[in-house]
Amino acid sequence: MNLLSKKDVKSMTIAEQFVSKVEQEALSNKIRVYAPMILLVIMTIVFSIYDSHFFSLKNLVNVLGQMAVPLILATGLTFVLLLGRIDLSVEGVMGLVGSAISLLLLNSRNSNDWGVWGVILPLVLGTLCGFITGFLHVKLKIASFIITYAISTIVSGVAVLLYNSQPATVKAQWVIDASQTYFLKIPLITWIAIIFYIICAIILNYTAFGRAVYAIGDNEAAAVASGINVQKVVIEVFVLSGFAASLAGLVALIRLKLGQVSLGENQMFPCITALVVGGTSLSGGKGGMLQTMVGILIYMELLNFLTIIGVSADYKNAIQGVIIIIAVALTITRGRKVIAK
Amino acid sequence: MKKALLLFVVLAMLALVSTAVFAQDEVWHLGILVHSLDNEFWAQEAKGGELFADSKDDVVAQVLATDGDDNKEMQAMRDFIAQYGDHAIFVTDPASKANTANVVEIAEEAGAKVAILWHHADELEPADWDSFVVHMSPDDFVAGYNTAKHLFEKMDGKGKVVALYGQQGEDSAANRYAGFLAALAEYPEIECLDMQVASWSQDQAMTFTQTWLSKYDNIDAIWAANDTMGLGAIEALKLEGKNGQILVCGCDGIAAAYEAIEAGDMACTVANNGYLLMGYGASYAYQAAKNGVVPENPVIKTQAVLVTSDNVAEYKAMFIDGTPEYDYDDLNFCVLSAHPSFAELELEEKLGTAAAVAVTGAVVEAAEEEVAWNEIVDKINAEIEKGIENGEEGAAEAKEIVDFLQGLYNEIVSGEAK
Repeated sequence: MNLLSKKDVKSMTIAEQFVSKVEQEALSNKIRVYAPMILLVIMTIVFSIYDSHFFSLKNLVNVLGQMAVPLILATGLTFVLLLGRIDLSVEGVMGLVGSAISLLLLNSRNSNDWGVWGVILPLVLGTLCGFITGFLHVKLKIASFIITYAISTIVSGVAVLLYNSQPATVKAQWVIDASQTYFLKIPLITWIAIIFYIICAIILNYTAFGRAVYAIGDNEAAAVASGINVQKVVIEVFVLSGFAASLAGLVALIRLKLGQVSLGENQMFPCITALVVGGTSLSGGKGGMLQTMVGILIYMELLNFLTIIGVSADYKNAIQGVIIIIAVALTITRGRKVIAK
Repeated sequence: MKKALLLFVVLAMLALVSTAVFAQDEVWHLGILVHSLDNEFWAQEAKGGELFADSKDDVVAQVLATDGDDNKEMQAMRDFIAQYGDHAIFVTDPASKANTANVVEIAEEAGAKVAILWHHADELEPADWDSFVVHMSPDDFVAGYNTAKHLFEKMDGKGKVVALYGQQGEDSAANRYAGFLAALAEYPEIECLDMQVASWSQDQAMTFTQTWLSKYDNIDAIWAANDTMGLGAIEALKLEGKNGQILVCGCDGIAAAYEAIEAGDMACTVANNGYLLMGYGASYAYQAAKNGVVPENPVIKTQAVLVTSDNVAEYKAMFIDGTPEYDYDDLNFCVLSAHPSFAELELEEKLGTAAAVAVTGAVVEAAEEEVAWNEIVDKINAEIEKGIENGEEGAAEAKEIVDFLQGLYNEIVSGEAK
């Protein structure tokens, strides 16, 4: 059988080879899209059978509450990754926005009580950070990982100056209420995340902007040639990512109440890992919102399950790492460049 | 007359210049090396160094942030020394354990005095270096033990507890947890259901606590290795209205923890007191540089206070709303316990205090008087017997060690005899 197929390749015309490559590509695309979903379903079933606490309503509500911040960040980062860029500033922006909100609402450090403006202004500020990042990246042609890292350190520094090393605890009653509000058993902060996710999914799939993002990520030169204003789209994506980070900062603050830079700490890499596990490519052009949701769910379930069954911390990191490698190996698109470039 | 006047002017100028130079000599430049100021405790430490400098007319302080980066710390020290020479003195919360060796070497080269807090590289002893004046740290083991003990007492000595560990691979985290385990061993009716590594993170601590709450319905207390994780656990409890019912402790003494204690959500924390730690560290370095005062026991465990609802108002007023006032010339004030070297400190931890003193004393004496082996062993055994009689911890282990040494000695002797 093997011999026969080898012979076949040799005796193929160029046109036939092209068709076979396209078919292979389509197959690997299918694997990339469906493998994570199958993995998620299998994980859920196996975990539920293994420990009955896992599928309990209470635990699922917990997982939903815990996924609010990662889902918002990952939604914003999906656009960035689809462009083939990266945004390392999200952690800093989260910390800045969370700290700023904690200081403007009723809190333990000062006498401010700005009400709704105490939320809106920091959100605008965080979004502005995204704009500055995108603008500098495009206009100065600085690689995205450098410029976003620089912005991240700047905004974390500013945040620390704001609260002068002594973080404020939010005392505003509506924040406390918001953290304890549930609709249909699902926490309010998760609803915020889901609504944001749905809006972004619509933007990505049904607008010219979304199609431009895919086009740029797939082949930037071709996108320029076809008349897409690449610079504008890239800046807009960083603005969106900045807003997502700001929203994540707000949600994290609602969850934890203490406005400090570490609100954003260790949030970004788990999200990027989840995106890649879900099937979004780091080199751009491949992936989407469905993959993002699947990736986040896989990641959160795994984390939760390892705690539920009481895996000791020494093994936990190793298990997580191994599962990530397996998941990525299963879902990565091999030979992508054969046709695209 | 003109000449006399000129001479006078010249002399006056010389005098001025020499006093200026002399005055220059009298100023000590204190480099305060901390990770960064974005953490409340590190900021407290830096402030402690500055408070010390403010209390002295001849000390000028400068905060040098290292971001936990070894190279940055070394570079900051070199720059500071280039500027002020041997009138530079340092107090450092080092970037890493290993880097303390570099810190000491750089200081030694320049003849600058340095006090090191928290970490130390293996086998780096203050006694071996002119520049390494003192090593100071709160006793993490005691902190973990005291917070756990407070929880267990409040639980009336029975029930279920879960533990939030700090960062893997850090001595502070390991020692605090060891303290927790030591306290746990004293309460046979208390069971630890699970321990998770939350890496000092509020977010992770909250997540773990939520998961625990959905798995166990009988948790009585949560032991957290620092305040941030304790606060994360409290947020998870609040969602279920169990704050105040399930006991939570912290450690470090940050503002939000004091507020949580006031609100009844947190049972206790330990005020590690960065002001005292870095303020007195700076004072030791200064006294060594200016007056040649070298502490006899340079490995110091500093005072730390267990803060509960009983004394929270007092310590909040002192550490958060204000700054504590200390007499930095009274170098012994900060000392909880002091030891001549890390080696002896470790020996004490392993053998129990009396046995350790006996071993080192006997060995030193033997070396000085060239006493034969058997006499040393007899002396040690006599001390260990006393230790066992007094119920000294570790005395039995010491006996095992000595027996092992005796066996080894006998083997060697009989080998030589053949």
